Amino acid sequence: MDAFDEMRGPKGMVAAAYQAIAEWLYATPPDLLDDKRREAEILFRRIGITFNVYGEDAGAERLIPFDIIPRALGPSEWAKLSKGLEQRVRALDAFLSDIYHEQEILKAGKIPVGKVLNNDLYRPEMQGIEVPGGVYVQVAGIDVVRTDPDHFFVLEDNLRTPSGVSYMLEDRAVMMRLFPDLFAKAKVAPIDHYPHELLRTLRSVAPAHAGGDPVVALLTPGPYNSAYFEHAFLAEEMGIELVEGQDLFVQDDAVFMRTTMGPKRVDVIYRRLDDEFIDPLAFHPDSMLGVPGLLSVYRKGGVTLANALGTGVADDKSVYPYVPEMVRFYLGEEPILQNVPTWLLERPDDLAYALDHLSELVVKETQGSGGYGMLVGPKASKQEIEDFRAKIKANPQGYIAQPTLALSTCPTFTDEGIAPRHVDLRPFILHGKHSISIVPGGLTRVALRKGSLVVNSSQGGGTKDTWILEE
Amino acid sequence: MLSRTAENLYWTGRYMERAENLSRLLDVSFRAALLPAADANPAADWQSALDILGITDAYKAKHGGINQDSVIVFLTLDTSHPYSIKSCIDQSRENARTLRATLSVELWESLNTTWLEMKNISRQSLLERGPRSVFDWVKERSHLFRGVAYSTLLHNDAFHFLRLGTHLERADNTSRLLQAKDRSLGALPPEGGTAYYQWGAVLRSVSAFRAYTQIYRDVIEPVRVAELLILKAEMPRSLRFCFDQITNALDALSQGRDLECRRLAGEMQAKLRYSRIEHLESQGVGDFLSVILNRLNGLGVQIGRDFLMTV
Amino acid sequence: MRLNIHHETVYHYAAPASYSIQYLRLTPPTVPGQRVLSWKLSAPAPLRPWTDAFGNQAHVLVIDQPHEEIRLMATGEVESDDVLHLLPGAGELHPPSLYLRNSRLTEADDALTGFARSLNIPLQSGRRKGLDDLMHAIRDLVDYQPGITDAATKASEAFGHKAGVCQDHAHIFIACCRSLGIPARYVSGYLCTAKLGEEGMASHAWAEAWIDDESAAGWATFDVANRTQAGEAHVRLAHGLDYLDACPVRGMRKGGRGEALDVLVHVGEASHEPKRQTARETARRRQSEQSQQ
Repeated sequence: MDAFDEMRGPKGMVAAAYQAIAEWLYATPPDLLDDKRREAEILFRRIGITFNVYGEDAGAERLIPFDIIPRALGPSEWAKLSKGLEQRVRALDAFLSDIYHEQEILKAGKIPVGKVLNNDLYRPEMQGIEVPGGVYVQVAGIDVVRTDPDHFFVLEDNLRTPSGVSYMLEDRAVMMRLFPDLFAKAKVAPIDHYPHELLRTLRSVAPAHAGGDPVVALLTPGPYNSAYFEHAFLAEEMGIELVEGQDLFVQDDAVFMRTTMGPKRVDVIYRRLDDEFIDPLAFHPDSMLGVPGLLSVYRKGGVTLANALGTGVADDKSVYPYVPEMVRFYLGEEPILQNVPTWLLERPDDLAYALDHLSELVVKETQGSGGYGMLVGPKASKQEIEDFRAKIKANPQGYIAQPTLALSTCPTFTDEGIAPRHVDLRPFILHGKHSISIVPGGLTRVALRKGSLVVNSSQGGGTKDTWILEE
Repeated sequence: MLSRTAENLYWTGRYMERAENLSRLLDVSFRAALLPAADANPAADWQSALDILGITDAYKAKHGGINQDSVIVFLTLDTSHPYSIKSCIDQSRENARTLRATLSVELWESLNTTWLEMKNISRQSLLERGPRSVFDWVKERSHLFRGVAYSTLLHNDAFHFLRLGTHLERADNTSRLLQAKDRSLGALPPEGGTAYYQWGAVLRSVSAFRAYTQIYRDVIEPVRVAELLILKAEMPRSLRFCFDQITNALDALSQGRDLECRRLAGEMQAKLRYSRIEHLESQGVGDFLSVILNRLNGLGVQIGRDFLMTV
Repeated sequence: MRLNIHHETVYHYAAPASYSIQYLRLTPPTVPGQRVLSWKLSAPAPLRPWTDAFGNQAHVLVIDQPHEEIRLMATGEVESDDVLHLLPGAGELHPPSLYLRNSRLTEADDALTGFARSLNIPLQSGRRKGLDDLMHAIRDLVDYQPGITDAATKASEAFGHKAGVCQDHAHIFIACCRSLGIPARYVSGYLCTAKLGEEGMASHAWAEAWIDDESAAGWATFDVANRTQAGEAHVRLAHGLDYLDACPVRGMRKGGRGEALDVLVHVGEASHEPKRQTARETARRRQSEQSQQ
C-alpha cells in the first residue's frame, strides 16, 4: 500500500506548499540539520516543555520528540478544511444543545435513544441548563487525516478537554528561532495569537452578571497531570490564574478563588479536569480535585464551565458514526468533511464482518483515548489479534472498527536520514458566543517508527510545526 | 495572588531555611563533641541538639541510646520524620514544584539541583566524606537559593512571601538555639575554657564569631552573645534583623490593609528595637525567649489567617 | 391522610470545621399523590435553592465561619393519598428511558442479572404483576437487618450478603429492573411507621419502575422492604439513579475532625396528638453522605 506523500505528491512533483521546504532540505547538509535538531531539543528543555509520564519517578519528565521538518498545507486546502471543521463544530454543538433540551434528534429516530441517554458520557446534570451563548464546546480539537490530495477524513472529535495546543505554539516558536531564513522565504500564516483568541472566546461566554470584565481562571488537576505543562503555559500566556480545586470555593451561588487579598469571584472556568471530578457532591464522592458545590452554581448560571459538562457524549466513538447525520439534521447541509467508514461492533452484522477481517482493520475502544486499547490489524501479530478477538467478543458494544487508512506521509528526519512518516493533524477550533475561529495551523503528530500508523505521544509519536501558507 | 501560591512560597522559603539551620546545629554539635576538655560530654551535646528540635522521643524510639553517627544520620538523611535536612529539602522542592510559573527558571533549577544531589547522599558517603563537608554544602546551597531569589525574582508578592517564610523560620531557630544554650551553659563558670568554647561554638553556628569580635573586641561573654543575637539590627541572624525583614515584607503584602499579623509583628519589632540587654537579663533571657517563641507561633497562625486561608 | 413531619439532623464536630457545604434534598414536592400544605427548612446559614440533576428541589448550605455544630430542621405538613396507581412521567426533567443508565451503586453483576432473568418478568403487558413478584422475591431472599451494610454498599454486595436495609432493597430492585431493560429509580422520603411497616424507619427509601402497557404509562412504586406500594404512609423527597443522587444530605467540610451525627425523625398523623415516640436513629449514615476534605 503506497501512501500519499504530501511533499512529493502522487506524481513525484514537489507540491506548491512544500516548495520552500524542499529547497531548504536540498540546500542544507544533513549534519547541519542534525545539529539543529540537537539545538531544538535543548531549547525545549530550557522552556520546560515536558510531559509527565504516569507511573514513573516524580522527577522524570519527558520531551515529546520534535521533528524539525515542517508540514505544510496550501491556502485552498486549508480553506476547505477549515470550512469543514467549522461546519462540524456547529453541528456537534447543535447536537449537544438538542440532547440536553428537547431531544428532537432522538425523537426523529436519527440516533438510537440508548446510545445517548444511557451513554456514560451523557450527563443528566446538564439537562435543561441554558449555557451562555448556547455554546457547549468552546474548544474542540478535531483529528483529521489525509489519504490523497483531495480527501480529509475526520478520525475523531475531541470535545472534552482537548490538549496539545501548547505544542503547536512551541513548535512554531522553536522553528522560527532555529530557521529564521526559512520563514523569510515562505509566507506562513501566524498562530501566536491563539492564547489571545482563546481568552476572547472564554470571556465571550461569561454569565451576564459578569459585565464587561469577567474573571477567567484555568482549572487544572494539578502538577501530576500529564498535561500540567500546557495548563501552566496557557494560563501564563493568557494572564489568568492557574487554579486547583482547593483554590476555589462556593458561596452565595457563586464560585470564588482564595487569594491573599481575600475571596475573588470567578466567572468563567476553563477547566482541564474531567466531568466526573468537577464536584464531589454530585459525582465521585471521594475526589479531591474538584470544587464541592460547583454544580449548583453552574445549574443556576452563576459560572460558566468551558467546555460544558457532558460534551463527551458527542465525541464518543460509538456516536461518531452519526456526526454526518447531525450535520444534515441540524444544518440542512451536506458534510464537507467525511467520516472514516466505521463498523459498530454492537451490530451483529458489523461484528461478524469485523471478526472475519481483523487483520485488515483498526479496532478501537468506544470510550478510549490516547491510542491505548487499540488494535492495528495489519501491524499486529497473530497472538495480538487473537487476544483482541476475545476482548471484542466479551464486550462487542465497547468497540468500533475502521478500515486501515493509508495515512499520508511527510518527510521526517530519522536515524536513517530523511524519510516519509505517517502524520495526522489536530486543528483547534474556538467557539465563542458570536463566532467560530480557527487559528491557521494545528498540531501535526507524526509516527516516528517506520510504517507505524499510531501517532500518539504516549505511543512513540512526535510532533511537527504545521504551516498554513498564505496566498 | 492565589493563597495556595503564597503558601507554597512561604513554605519553600521556610523549609530551605530550616535545612540550613539544621546543618548549622549539626555542625556546632559536631565541633562541641570534638572538644578535648576533661569535662566534655559528647552525648549531652547531641542530646541538646535533639532537644532543641523537640524530637528526642522520636529518636529514642528508633535508635535507643545517643550515638553520634546515629544522630547525624537521623538528622541528615532520615525522611521518616520531618526534621531531617533531607526531609526539609524534599518539602522545599515539593512546595516549589507547583510554582514553576512564579519562580524564575534559575531559582527552580537551583532548588531542583540541590534536591537531586541530596538524593545521592547515602549514610556511607555522609559518614565517610565527613559530615561537616555535607553540612557546609547544605549551607552553600541555601545561600545560593537566597541569592538567586534575590537577584532573579521580581521583588513583588512572590519574593515577599519567600522572605517571610525564611525569616520566621530563622527567628524561630535563633530563639531556640539561644534558649537551649542559656539553659545548658548558664551554670558554667564564665572563666573556664569550656564556656568559652561552647559560646564560641554557638556564635560560629550562626556565622557570628567574627561579627562578635569586630563589634565587642572583647572576650566572649554570654550576655554579649545574647545581645548580638537578639538585639543587633546589623546581625543577619539576630531576632531584630529577622523582625525588620518580616515587618518590611508584611508592609508590602498588606497593601494598606489593617491586618492583625502586621500589628503582631510590629509589636514584637518595637520590643526588639527599644529593649536593652540589661533589662532583658534582669527579667531573664530564657523567659524572654519563651515569650518570643510563643509570639512567633501566634504570628505564623495569624499570617495563615490573613493571607493563606482567608476562607 | 395528613402527616406531620419533624426531621432534625445535627452534626457535631470534636474539632471545629472551618468551611462546610451541603446539598440538601429536604423539601418534598407537590406531585400527584402528595400535596405539601406547609413546609419549613431551617439551617444555621442562608439556604440557596436550586434544582438538581433530576429535577428535585434542593438547597445549598454553606457555612464559612468556624463551627462545631450544624443543625438542620425540616418540619411541615403533607397530605398524602392512598395508593396511587401510577405517577405520570410527563413534565419531568428526563424521559423515563434515562433511568436505564447504570450507576455505581446499582450495577448488576452476573448473580443479580441471573436472578432477575429467572423470574421471567413479562416486559409488556403484565409487567406490573411481574415486578410485584420481583419485589417479593427480593424481600424473601434479602433479610431486613441493619448494621450489615452501609451507605456505600452496592446492590450486588447487599444481594450477596442476603441482608440489608430499605436502601439496599431498593438498589437491588433497581438493578434487576435495569438489567431487564425496565427504567427504574431510587426514591428517598419519609414513612409514617405508626401507620405501616415494622421494617424501616421514619427516614425511608423505596424504588420506582416505569410501567408502559395498553392501559397506562407511569411510574409505579415498590417499597421492597415493606412489600408494598408507596401509599398514604409515604412522603417522597427526591429521586435519582441511586442513593447518592437522592440522599437528603450530601456534604463536605474542611477540618471538623470527629463527626457525630444525631437524627431525629417523627412522622405522625396530623389529626392525632403527636406521639412522643420519636426514635433516635442509629443507622445514621443512611440519610447523610458527609466527607471531610
